[in-house]
Amino acid sequence: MALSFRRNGDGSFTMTVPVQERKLLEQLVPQMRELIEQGDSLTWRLFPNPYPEHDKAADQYRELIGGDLIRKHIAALDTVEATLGAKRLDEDQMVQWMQAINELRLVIGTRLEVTEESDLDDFVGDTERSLFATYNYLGYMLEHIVTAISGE
Amino acid sequence: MTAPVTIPVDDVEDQRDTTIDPDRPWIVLVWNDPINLMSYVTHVLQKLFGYDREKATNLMLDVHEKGRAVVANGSREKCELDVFRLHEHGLWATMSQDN
Repeated sequence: MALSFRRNGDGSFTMTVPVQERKLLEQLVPQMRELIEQGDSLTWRLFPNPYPEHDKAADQYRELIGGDLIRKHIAALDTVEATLGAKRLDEDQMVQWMQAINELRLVIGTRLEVTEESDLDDFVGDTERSLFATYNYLGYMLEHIVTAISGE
Repeated sequence: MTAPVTIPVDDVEDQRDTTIDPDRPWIVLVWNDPINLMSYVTHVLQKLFGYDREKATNLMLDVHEKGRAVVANGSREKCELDVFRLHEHGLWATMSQDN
């Protein structure tokens, strides 16, 4: 069973996630949630400063809206966790999968300090090489989801 | 041993408080990053702003090649909402007052 995401006529999606990949997500999602809840600096790309020229406005924005953004990012992770074994997703769930996979890429990419030209040979240790393989795999998965949602 | 260095508080708190002019409109910028996929950025711009594929692709290419692009504009409240939705989708968005 290869990875696949397909839009159905009724707007829902049919999903096949091979068991190996499901296990990978099962491991990554809780780690990711913890990093977000701890406000770990690796998650900064999920919470960019909207007002780089206005510090006071940035503080106010963070105070008023920061919590909502945390909840949105975590809700996407919750949906992936709750539907890991599902064969059908509704559109909202599919969009949350897309957001969650992208969150994982952003944080792993930040951790690895990837550039647009990064490839496997740039990474030496086993941990980093395996993390980079995961990063690439998540990119492959995201491409499939984007294609299924945008219908192209 | 090295003596601890005392840094004057003013230097540490580098407050950037450009005055906000309530009458000037705002722009929403998306910045290039090495992680987000081009197809994903194009899709998000289409979805959030209703742009057709060509316009969203051109904006994405601007981000990729020039480092940033203005993707939306309007009142401060509208731009804050746009920025929020872009952040929800993991894009690196900021807002500035239009010059």
